[in-house]
Amino acid sequence: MRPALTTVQFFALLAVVLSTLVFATSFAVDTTSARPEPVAFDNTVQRGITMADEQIAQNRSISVPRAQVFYSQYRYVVGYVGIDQAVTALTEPGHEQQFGYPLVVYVSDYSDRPVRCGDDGSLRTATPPDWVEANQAHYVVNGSARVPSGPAVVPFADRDDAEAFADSCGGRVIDWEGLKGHSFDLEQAAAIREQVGPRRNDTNATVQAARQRRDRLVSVEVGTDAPTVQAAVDSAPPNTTVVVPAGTYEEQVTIDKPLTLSGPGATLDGGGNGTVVTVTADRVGVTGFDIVGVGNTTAGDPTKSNDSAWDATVTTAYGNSDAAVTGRNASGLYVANLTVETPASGVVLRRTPGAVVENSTVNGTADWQDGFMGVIGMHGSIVVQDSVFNGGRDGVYLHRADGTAVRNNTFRDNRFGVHLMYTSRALVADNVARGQEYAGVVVMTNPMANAIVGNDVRHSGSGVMLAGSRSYIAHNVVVDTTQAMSTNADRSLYEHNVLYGNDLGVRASTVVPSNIVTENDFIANDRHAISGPGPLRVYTHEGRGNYWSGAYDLTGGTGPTLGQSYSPTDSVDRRLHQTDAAVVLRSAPSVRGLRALRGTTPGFRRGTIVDRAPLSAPANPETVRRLRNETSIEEPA
Amino acid sequence: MTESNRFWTVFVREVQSAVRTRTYIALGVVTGIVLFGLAYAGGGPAGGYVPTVVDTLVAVEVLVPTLAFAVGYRAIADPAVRGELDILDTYPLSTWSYVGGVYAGRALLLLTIVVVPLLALGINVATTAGPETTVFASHRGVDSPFLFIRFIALTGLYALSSLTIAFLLSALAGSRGRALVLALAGLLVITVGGDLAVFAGLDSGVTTSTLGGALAMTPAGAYRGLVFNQVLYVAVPGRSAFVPTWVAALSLLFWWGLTFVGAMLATDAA
Repeated sequence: MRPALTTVQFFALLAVVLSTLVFATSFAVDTTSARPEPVAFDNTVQRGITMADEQIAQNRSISVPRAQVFYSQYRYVVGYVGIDQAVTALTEPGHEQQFGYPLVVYVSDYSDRPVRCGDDGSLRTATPPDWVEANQAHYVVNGSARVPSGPAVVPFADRDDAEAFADSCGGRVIDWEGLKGHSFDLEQAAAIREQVGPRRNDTNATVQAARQRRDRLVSVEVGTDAPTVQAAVDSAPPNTTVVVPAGTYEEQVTIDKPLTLSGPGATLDGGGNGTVVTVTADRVGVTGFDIVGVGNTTAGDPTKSNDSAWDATVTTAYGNSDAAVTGRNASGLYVANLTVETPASGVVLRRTPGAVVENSTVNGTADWQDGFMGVIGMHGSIVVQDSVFNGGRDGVYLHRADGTAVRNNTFRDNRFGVHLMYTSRALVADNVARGQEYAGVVVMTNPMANAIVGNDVRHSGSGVMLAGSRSYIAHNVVVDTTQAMSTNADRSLYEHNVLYGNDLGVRASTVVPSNIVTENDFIANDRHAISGPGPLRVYTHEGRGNYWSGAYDLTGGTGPTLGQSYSPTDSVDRRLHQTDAAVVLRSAPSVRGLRALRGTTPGFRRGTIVDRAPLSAPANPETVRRLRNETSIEEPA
Repeated sequence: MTESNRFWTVFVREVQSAVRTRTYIALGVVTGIVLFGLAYAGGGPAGGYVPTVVDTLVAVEVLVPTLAFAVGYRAIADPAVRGELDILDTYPLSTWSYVGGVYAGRALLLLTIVVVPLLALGINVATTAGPETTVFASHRGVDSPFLFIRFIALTGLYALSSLTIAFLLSALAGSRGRALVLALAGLLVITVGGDLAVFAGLDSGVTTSTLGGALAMTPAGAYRGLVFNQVLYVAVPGRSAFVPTWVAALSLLFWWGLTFVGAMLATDAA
């Protein structure tokens, strides 16, 4: 007969059976079938809309269809404003490698909503849409419905509702698979690179057109034909030149007809109160003056705004700053060869499309807090080139000035050199910035398609600080700053920049990494790069990464890229250019073992950057050689 | 006294002697430090269960057989050298009860040393992993505690198989010195030799279609393959058949059973 089990034996048996059960269960559970529920859109990491478009949509009650995506390897829910934005992101190459595959995608559901496209085509609904799974929705595309950024893709859970909407607003109905094959006309960052040349040419054409203001016949000479500058302006026939001989003229002038005011050697003194020259007509030229006596009011009273636009406060406050020259609602303004001393602004341009400021010098206040902007451009594209901005708040400040070009200028000791607000499709090229308190070039409020190329920033707080999307940041040189670049813009292309001798090279700050960072040179920075929240960033594109001083390869390869990947955020790698002992630690089996499989879970990794194909030599050898030969690098300006 | 009671007596004796041996506690503590250290150096626990597996897999694959040999390399050789086996021959105690009892005791010890730190690591992940900011809505992605439990289960199976191999070599050794040498050799074969043999065979015999099967034949290859199949596959979309699952699972069981029988036969012969 079999003896009964003792208590201990019973528990031992129980433990074996239980643990076997638990283990068996873990294999039986399907871990991949979880399907998270949609979340409040405000809580998602949002992408896809410029702040300007967002403000317009809000101000005019336009409903923008949205999507939210749960990725297999990304902990945050990503929200896309615009279905076209979501589809473009989801079908981008390399997207899955970074975030894993989408576990589930939800889109706005306009079924059973009083949705309509108004007279202007704008998509509107009194009841906010619900959510539906993307692969169960029906989409109306190519219709007349619009959102601020362009044509709208409108999703419906119910096919009949989609058909009904297509009947009234046009377009056809397709499903999710069809939509994924649909090509949207969204500019990619690489396309912005191709636009740099055409933008330069467009700028040249704008400048050529404005320079015609120099060729007008002289009709009136101040002193000879008229007692004062204002009298001369008043008496001169349109489309002629008023000449102001050398001397000092204590007056303020208003130009309200197409006229060129030319005063090489002449000084205009505004008396220290208000703006000196005010232009209210098209095709005016102001050239060759020294302007002094500008008032010291830096900002207008925003409560006096009678404008209902969402940015009325900014327009009123910033657009009414005292200046040497102010242009309002005037096209084709040409301002050149001025030398301005100002406690407030230099040139203020509001709604002056095609205005050109060139070969001028604006000397602002020694302390930026006391002064204001060198040039303010608002509501319209302008050109600022070959000018010098000393001191003051920002050298060039742009607000909703899409398509503006700022090039070949020199900025010294300002707060920001160039400052873009709500401004897309701009060209900021070949400027030199030194000694900015905060940054050489800064782009805020998530605009898109900006090109920041060939700028040289040194001895400043930061170098080039980017926000927005689909921008092109290339061939910039940043030396001796506390932070050379921030990649706060997404889906942007950062290439051929040289970041030399900064406290920090790049701060990767978007939560959703989607930038291409390649062929840049990171040399002699205390930290080459650090990363904010969000998953692993891969700084390699089409087999080529960046040059990181200190990165090395024990395989002794002589190819263009190193065999071992480099991670500037890794505690060992980031010391490679500071101590050779890091080489020894990096070769340890345990350290190697840790790295062996790491790349398989990029989406779960926090705050890290890896370059899988670091370059074995600088990508911009000429620039690097020049920098290495310059002895002034270490010294403050 | 029945056969199972004799087994139980030997098992209890093994467990009691293990509990008395303080160095095993040290071994467990060091194992825990190594696992936690690696996971934290890699940053896995902040990311989740799967990243933690990724960070520790390479180390665990070497660590587990090493611990198995540390626990088992003298399990049979010692009593043989001391002449205990000869005395036991005069008792009514079958080889099965004896080797089985010793094995069960050592296995419990080994599993404690391996599984307890891994469980602790899993609990640590459960309490620390999560998004860095609560500003945004977050979710778990494909990560799951079940994946980590699978990892522990597979690691346990790998540990048990490694231990029978250690027992076989211990029974074959015949002296303490030889036991150490054989254990080191066996360890090298498990951690390096198997993969190297498959690697070397790639151009002569092992083909693209048999590579998975060949890898699954080796203990380490089978274990690693199963971890990829059952745990890491969630991180590698589009790939799921790393090694044939059943071949790998049967291979581990086969190694376990075969070497256990081998150990008994060798003990009889000793």
